Amino acid sequence: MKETSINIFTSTTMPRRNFLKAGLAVGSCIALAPAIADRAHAGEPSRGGTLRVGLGAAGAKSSLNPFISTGDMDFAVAQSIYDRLTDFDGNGHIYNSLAEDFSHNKEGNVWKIRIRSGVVWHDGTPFSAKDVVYSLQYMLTPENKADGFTNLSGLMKPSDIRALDDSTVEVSLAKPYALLPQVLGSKVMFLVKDGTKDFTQPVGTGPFRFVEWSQGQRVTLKRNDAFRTPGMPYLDGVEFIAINDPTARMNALIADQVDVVAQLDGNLARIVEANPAMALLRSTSAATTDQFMMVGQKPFTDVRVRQAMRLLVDREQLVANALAGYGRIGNDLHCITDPDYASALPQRQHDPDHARSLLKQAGYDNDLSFELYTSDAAPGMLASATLIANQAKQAGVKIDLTVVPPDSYYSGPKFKKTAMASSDWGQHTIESVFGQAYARGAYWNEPDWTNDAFDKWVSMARTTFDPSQRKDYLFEAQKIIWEDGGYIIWGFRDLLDAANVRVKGLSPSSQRNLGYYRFEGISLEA
Amino acid sequence: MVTARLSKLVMARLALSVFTLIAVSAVVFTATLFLPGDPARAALGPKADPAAVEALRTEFGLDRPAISQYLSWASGVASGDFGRSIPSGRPVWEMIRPKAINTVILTVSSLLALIPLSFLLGTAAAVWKDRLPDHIITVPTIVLVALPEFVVGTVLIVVFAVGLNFLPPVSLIQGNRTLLSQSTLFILPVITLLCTTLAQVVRMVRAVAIEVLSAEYVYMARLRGLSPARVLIRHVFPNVVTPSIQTIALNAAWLAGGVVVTEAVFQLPGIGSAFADAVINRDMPTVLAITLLITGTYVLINLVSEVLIMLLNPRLRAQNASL
Repeated sequence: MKETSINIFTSTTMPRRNFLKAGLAVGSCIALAPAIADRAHAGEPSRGGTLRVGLGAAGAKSSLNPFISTGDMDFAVAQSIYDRLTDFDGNGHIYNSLAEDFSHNKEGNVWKIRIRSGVVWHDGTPFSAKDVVYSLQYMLTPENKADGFTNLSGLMKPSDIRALDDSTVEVSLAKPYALLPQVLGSKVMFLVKDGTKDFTQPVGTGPFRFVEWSQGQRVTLKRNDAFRTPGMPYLDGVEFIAINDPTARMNALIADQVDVVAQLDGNLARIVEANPAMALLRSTSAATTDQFMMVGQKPFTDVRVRQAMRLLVDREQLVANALAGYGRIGNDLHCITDPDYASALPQRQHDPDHARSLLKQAGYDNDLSFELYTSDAAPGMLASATLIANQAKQAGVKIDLTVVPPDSYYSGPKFKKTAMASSDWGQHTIESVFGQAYARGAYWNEPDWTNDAFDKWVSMARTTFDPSQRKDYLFEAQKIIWEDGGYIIWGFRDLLDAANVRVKGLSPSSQRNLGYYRFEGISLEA
Repeated sequence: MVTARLSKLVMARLALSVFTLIAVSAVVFTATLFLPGDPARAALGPKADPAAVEALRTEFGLDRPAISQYLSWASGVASGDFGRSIPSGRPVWEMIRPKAINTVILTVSSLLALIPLSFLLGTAAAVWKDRLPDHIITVPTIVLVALPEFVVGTVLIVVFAVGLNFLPPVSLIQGNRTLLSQSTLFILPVITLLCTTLAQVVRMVRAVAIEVLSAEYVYMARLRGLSPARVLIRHVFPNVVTPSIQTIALNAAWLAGGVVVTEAVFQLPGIGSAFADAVINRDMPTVLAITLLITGTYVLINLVSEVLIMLLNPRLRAQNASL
């Protein structure tokens, strides 16, 4: 069996051999962890101290099970305790975390994953291939209700995964698939110890170990002295403190009840920027607050109407108002941070005249009207829906807003039943968003948009192992979305956090707030 | 005789309370049925897999008819089991107990501050009726009662926490530390609650005190040359207490359920925030348990106030004795 090796490796302790392989394989995908780059400028970081992190939690839903993600606090805790096989850096590039090497057979349906050696669990036992097998099988068991089930179940069955030896896992996929490393790096793919069923005393391989948990309120962690990167983490511990209201989080930061806070809205970010005792952490991301048009419903069965709506929205104004300027305009495509994002496509401009002529061709002469179902369920959602209705009015399109409370928005009876509705998507890779928002028959393909040519390009990309070839296929797929799709992606939200100036080493990450909630490179200066 | 009459009254009231609790729980249960959305979907997140949602619905019996859900819940409560919280699967009582303790501390501290303060201010306002001290006391309390808690709380945060950096703006209570060591976390919430309840009690005390001050026996006491302080303490004060108990009880009962907004402003982990959280999650067992807790407190406070009034009022005591 001829084996092709794919390396997506990067780390500070990267052996030279792997570095060369990686350089040959994926060139531009090498990225140093930004926190480490920062250290070079700032001199040696201080040791010790406990970082107090104020962030939103999921109250009674909150749990320590890393496979069921709820609020930010649960995710941040999992990020500190656990690791994945692969991971994404602040710029959205993939690197090997606990994996050391991926290889596959010629067809690309049998993969071998070699894991990093010398990693130990918090209880002192060595990390082994068996743990990887167990974690994947755990997620593939429907009763466990793991978020990762949907990512993996189309690719493999539990019996397709086995440990060849202590450091090698073999996965036989249902069909050839090139993007296994990307899937294993998605945010729910944590690795737990073989046999773990109870997560109340979590044991991981990450930079911090579990100490104490009080549901929906506070989680205390301490330094993992045996962490694989020597000298890290710099902190003695991390304390996650639930403060669900963004204004209260801000107050707690000002009054020194916490050192950093996650997830601010634009208005609070301005306050941070004006305060010399605090620093704003602003991360560009691919998170969207968007609108979608049901392609099976009038008037959006006609592609010209969909295109007209995309031309009617004034993206600059939406970003300036609905996101308070903390964002970037979108081009009706998801995943701006993905290396394969189709940035070569022309930016769609605000063009009411063109929109009017398209509507006229479609048979609407200043008489188009429809309903927009919305809520304040995501940052800027209600504001953007209101603005879009207003912008459309100037071009003779009448949009009636139906506003419902956020807690029942997505499960409400009118969701996916109304011609246009609002939605939001967090940070994703193209592969993961294609699997959810653009897949034929998937519930979260919100507009129910399908396209044969699109499906063909995507499936070709999934079985193409040459990255540049794959990028071309994905470009073709995105071009079809750009011309024909049902989403109006008018902008990408920046992730906004704030920290006391004592906190050093924080750097932006497109993945999620507070540098993807990884704190091994953070230090507290006196 | 008095005790026999009293215990009869208490027994009758307690029996009525059980009926009240059943009625309230039935009404609240029915109301939750009309909330849009369902607990399983809320528990697993908006973008959860439909199969997982179905599995959770079955696990918690949400696919059964409403009446059978209610009856199995009620029989559980009757045997002291409040059921399990839907999103977490943990026992409801275990989850709400620490929060209930925080709320009790908050409301009891507010009451302990409210009672002496309102008697002091109310009596002072009565003594200096229609003169400057009266205005200084009554006008601000009226203004404060007109302001909603979130305004009072926010102003307090801006002034004392953010501005003066004197008290914590967010009540981040830790379950594993003694409450005494965290007492500063309760100060601003207590002041907020005090502001919203003070006016009513002060005005009640003032009105009663004015009436008592003009009574003949007070006039006689003054004529007999007793010092003003002695008149107030021996003759006025005891007669102000009884009529004011009802008002204080009303405020205490209101506090039992009315702390929601204050808890939200200070992010204090109490029964109010747990209740809001449970409603958002459509966590019926928790919603019902907290409803019962609040209703029970309400009923209990009213009962206690009635008994107190009876014990403190000589006329009622006499009436009872003659019965």
